[in-house]
Amino acid sequence: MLTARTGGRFPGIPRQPARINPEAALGCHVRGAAGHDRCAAIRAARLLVQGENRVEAVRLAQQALGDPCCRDNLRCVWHAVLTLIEADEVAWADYHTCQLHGLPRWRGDPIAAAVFDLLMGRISFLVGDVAGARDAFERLLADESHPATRVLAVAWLVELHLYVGDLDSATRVLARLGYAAAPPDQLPLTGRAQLLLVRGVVAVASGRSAEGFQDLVACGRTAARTGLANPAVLPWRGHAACEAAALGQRERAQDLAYDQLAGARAWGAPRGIGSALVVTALTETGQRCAELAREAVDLLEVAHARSSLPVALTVLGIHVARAGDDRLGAHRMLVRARELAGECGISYWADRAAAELSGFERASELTSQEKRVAKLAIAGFKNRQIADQLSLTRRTVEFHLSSVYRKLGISSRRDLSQCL
Amino acid sequence: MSLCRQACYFESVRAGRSALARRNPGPKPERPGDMFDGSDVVCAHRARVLEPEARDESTPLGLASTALLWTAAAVNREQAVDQARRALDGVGPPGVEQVWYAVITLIVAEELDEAERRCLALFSSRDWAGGEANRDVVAALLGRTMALSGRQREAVAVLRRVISHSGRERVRVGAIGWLVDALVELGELDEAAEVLRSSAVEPSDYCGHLNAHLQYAQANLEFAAGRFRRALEQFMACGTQFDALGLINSGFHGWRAKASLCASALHRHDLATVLAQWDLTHAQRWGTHWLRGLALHALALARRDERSAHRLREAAAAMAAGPVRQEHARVGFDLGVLLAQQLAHDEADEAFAAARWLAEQTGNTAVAGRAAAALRRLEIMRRAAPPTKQEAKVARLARAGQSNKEIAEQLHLSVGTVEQHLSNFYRKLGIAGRPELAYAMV
Repeated sequence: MLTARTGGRFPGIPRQPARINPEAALGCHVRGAAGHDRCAAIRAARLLVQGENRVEAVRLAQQALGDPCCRDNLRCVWHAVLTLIEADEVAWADYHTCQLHGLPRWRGDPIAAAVFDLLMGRISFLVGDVAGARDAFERLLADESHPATRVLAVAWLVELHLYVGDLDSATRVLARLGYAAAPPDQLPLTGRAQLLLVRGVVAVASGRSAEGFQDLVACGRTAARTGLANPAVLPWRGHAACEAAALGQRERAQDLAYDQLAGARAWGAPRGIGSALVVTALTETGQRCAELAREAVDLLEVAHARSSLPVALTVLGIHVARAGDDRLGAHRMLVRARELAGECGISYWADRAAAELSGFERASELTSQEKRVAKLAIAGFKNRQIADQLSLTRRTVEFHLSSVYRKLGISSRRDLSQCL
Repeated sequence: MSLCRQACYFESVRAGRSALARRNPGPKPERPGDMFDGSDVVCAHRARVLEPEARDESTPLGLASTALLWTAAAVNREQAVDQARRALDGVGPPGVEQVWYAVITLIVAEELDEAERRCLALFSSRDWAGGEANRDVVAALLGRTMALSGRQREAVAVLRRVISHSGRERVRVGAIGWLVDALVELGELDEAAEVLRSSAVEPSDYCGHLNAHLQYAQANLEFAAGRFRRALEQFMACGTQFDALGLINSGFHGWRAKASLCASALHRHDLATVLAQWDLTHAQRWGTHWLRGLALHALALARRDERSAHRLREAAAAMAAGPVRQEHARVGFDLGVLLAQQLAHDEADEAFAAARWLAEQTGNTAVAGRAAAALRRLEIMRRAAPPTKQEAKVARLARAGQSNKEIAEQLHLSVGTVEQHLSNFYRKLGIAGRPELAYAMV
């Protein structure tokens, strides 16, 4: 069992924030009567911000969305749907958003239209409909009348570009809106934190590590000011851990990664835990790395996190192949990455996975004799029978088979049929 | 908002769309009377149900397919049951397709008495759509109903007949899965394996959900045999297919809860917790007792903490409140084991006795036998010393599927010592051997 480490602390970021303000932490600053404490949507959002009791938060959010009072209040709708999204109940978030969107109540209301567009764009992205999400966010970017939704659209669009491996577009979006350099102080806290997060990730991805770390820590500090303790909403620790691991600062990376993991577990959403496990696996080596990677992939599959899966699978596949000792697992991950990335239209990761796989196949290229022996072994022949059939000695067959196992990184006949 | 976007309410539906497009290159021609070969029900009727304007509730078939779609998505249980009833009550004898959809809705909504009544009525009526020729459909549904309400023996007889007589693949595959379920519940694993082997079904010939259904049956069998690693792999694989097809309600089989139990046994607590919680939120929404019981059972084992016993009690209560009897005895058994570990011997005694009674009622000789053995070993435990830490450690590794030799290497012991520890552990807990370890929480 993993234990929460003590490290990974940063000045100005308390572990347990004293005051929780869901409106500031998640608020999209939309009009509507301020939610009272007993309103189910606000109670759900409070749990989301605290990062605790996901099952109860989902129940409350659904209750809110079934309540005519909350359904008529855009602020409640935002809080409830966002809770469902972050709790990985994306199907239900989508169901409710589509239903509410069609109500006559919201016809001709530009802010409601922007909020629904934003929520639906986010949902589309999470379930792997990348093109649909990009369209929705681009539409919001074009409209300058509502800055609060616009800044979230920017942040989520940049994140989308990063996930599909398009760093240029991510940088361009930030530059186009003037967020590339100037610290966005005038923005609402939520938007600022989200923006700092993606700007940090863009910076580290472009090789400007120090700048990126600074932004990521600033993101954590901003989030703490609103009382946001749920790391699934703003996974800045995870991103920082990734970069630290890439720089070879293993201890720092592990501290951050295990902290992120502990928080994700407390909230309990599979996508959050899965992503945290990806990062944790990247900081580990050997069997532990392979175990964490397998768990991460299974959780992301369960969560239907189709936009994060291609990235996670490729990165883990490469890492496990090099630092882990599970070549078969790495091979499977890369094959699945290529397939999924192709389905979601993410050509960058499809190509990366394919390139890595061809390297794999070259390294494990079998001689024609080895192939013959392997085929007979798969067909269920015993070594003695194979030897007779190919007019070899049994020792030679054993020798060929063991070099097949070594090249494919497997240890038994049963794995053989899965590999070839 | 694009039409396409409106049509996909469920992420899983959307995720599955591309997979389905590859499998089914175009819409298949409607062939009346041959519906079981058609594309999957959820795909065929999705547009109709999800587009409110286009939804056809004027015909019994429209009503029944809406009901099944809601059931598949674990939403609107009461309306789904209502629609299923209306579909069956329509003027004239109901068509075979709507019977299949409507009765499955009733079964998953835990209206077992009504499902059985309806099936028996249809079975004895001579004049409904095709009469004799369609009896296999009703028989299969009847068999499933019997199995779920705890009459496994009768169910096995009925389902066996369906498999040997039915010419419809969909019904046959459904019956095979249900028969395996029933045999597993009876503890007759060899029989179940034989059914899967001899059923001569070539999975690749069918559309996704039949494949998934068979894979589920295989997984369930592995699970019952205590081969958790393989069971988990197969549960996850069939689950991906179920999700992709929009069958996200685990009330159909309870695959998530079972997969969670496998994950717990393999010490993969993150996965186990997430799967169990997933079912718990579904149970909240769909509102059936059985699913809630399954989810709480799985959650109790995924998160072994001070609330585990409470969760198991709640699970047992939830299952007792509903009509479904499958898996029920196992909850009681696991509760007994947990209490025995906490040295609450009297309560454990009670739990085991209840589990034995339930297992006997449903003909599950395996669980009944284990519960009886547990009762005996409780007696021994009251007198004997508890297992030592080292013994428990060895037993945990053995349960995770490691051989004695592997355990010896890992703990730097000799194989003889490992054997000694294991036999001490067996004696102290009154376990007969390695297969029973799977059911003893260590």
